[in-house]
Amino acid sequence: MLALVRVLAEAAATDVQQATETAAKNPILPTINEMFWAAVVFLLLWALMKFVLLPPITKLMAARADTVRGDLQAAEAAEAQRVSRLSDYEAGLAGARSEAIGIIEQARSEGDAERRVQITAADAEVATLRADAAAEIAAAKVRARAELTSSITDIAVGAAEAVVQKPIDRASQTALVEDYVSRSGSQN
Amino acid sequence: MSILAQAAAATADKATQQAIAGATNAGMAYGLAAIGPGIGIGYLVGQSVQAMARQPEAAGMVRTTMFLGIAFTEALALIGFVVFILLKFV
Amino acid sequence: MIFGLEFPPIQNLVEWPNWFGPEGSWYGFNKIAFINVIALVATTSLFFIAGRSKSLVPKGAKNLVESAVDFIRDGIVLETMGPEGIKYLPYLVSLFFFILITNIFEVIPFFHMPGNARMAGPAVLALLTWAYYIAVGIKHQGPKYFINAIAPAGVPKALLPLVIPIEFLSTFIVRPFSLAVRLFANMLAGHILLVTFSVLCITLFTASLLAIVLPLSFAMLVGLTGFEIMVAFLQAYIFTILAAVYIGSSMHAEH
Repeated sequence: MLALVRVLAEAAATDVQQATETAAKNPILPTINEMFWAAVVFLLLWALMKFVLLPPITKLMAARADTVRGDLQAAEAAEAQRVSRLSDYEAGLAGARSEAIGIIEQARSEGDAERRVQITAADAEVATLRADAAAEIAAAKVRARAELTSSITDIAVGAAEAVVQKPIDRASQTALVEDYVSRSGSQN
Repeated sequence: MSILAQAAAATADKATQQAIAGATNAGMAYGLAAIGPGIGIGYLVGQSVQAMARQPEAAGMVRTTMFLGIAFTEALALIGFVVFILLKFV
Repeated sequence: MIFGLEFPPIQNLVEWPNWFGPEGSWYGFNKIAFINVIALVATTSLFFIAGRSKSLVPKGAKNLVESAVDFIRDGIVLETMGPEGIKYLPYLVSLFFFILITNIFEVIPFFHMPGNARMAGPAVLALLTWAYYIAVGIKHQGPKYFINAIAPAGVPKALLPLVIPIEFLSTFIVRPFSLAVRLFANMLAGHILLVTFSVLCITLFTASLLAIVLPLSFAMLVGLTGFEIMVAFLQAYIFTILAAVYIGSSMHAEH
């Protein structure tokens, strides 16, 4: 009986010992020394990161971002300047072109006016010349007709006097001859 | 002497039985714990992919939220895994 | 013991003896503490090298650090807290780098142990984050922060008895717990996964007939290593973004 009790007690003690051993060896529960080192290391890392390690990095990144932004802005300004310069140049070009066109137009219109004036003058001159010539022709024609009339009258009167052997009234014969000449002139 | 041997055999038997029961329960526990999160994560990622395909410009935001959702959903499966370890090895 | 596959006890996978200091003492320095110290030294030297060069064109370590800081600032802080969260950048950058580097030791040869597969690291970080967002809430809203946090404005009076316990639990208990457990369980699961496939590869290497499936197992191990690198990064990102969300939610009363 006593032996049984002793055995049971021993078994119980072994169980308890095993249980405590397994509890101490529980793979889930954190152990105090690892927690201590993890806490020390992480707090050290955090402090270093906050005060020593991160500031230069962020500063440099900010500086680079600023540089990039500045460069972008400079590029944009240069682009705007280029665009404005281009538009200026184009405006100047357009002005020069319109000026040239104006000059050409002016020259053309001036030339036209000049030519028109000259043509008018020449026309007028030609017209006077033609009128003079026409007047001359007409005068010559009149003169010629008068000469013709008088000579034909003379011939006709002489011939008639020779035929009738007596002087003929010259005035009445002149009217006749003139009638004839004018008729023959109109026939021609 | 015989009593001692019997007692030792009994304790050994008991320990083995406990180990077998623990292993069985552990397998069951982890298997059951993995069902829900498996369905959940599948559904979550599928919906996220759909959202990203519909609106590619919102992909970054959707991805962040997707990882958060996966983290929350997965926690259940991981707690099941911890229970598995506890049942199997402790 | 299945098909000659002898899986080591989990204590052998995650618990490491102290290098100095007696076992169970509060200052015992072991592999996990060493990984944490390496994370500190690596982050410090990276930032130191990056901050030393004054040239505006980044390259090398500077490029890495700047893109990481840029990622945390634009992808985490500005997305979750807006421009007024910039002053919490140092905390979040420290969190991100610390968790990322301690996680990445999961796949680094001769370590093969994520520092966060022990509950200690995640628990410390989660408790710090918990204290930090409560402090930020008190700083921004005064003692009214606790009232705003557990009783959001706009909730009907009749629902308050239901809402207050739920909000209290979710804000002050579940948040730090889930933060710590998420990181810890992910890394532990990844670690166990890699160990499982490594053990499988070793066992198959000595097996006579089953050795023909060794290439498959090894390919799986390689693929999982890549996957775990991604998980290490993702968990660092998720922990950081959740810390940012919690801090951001303390800055203003919820509405």
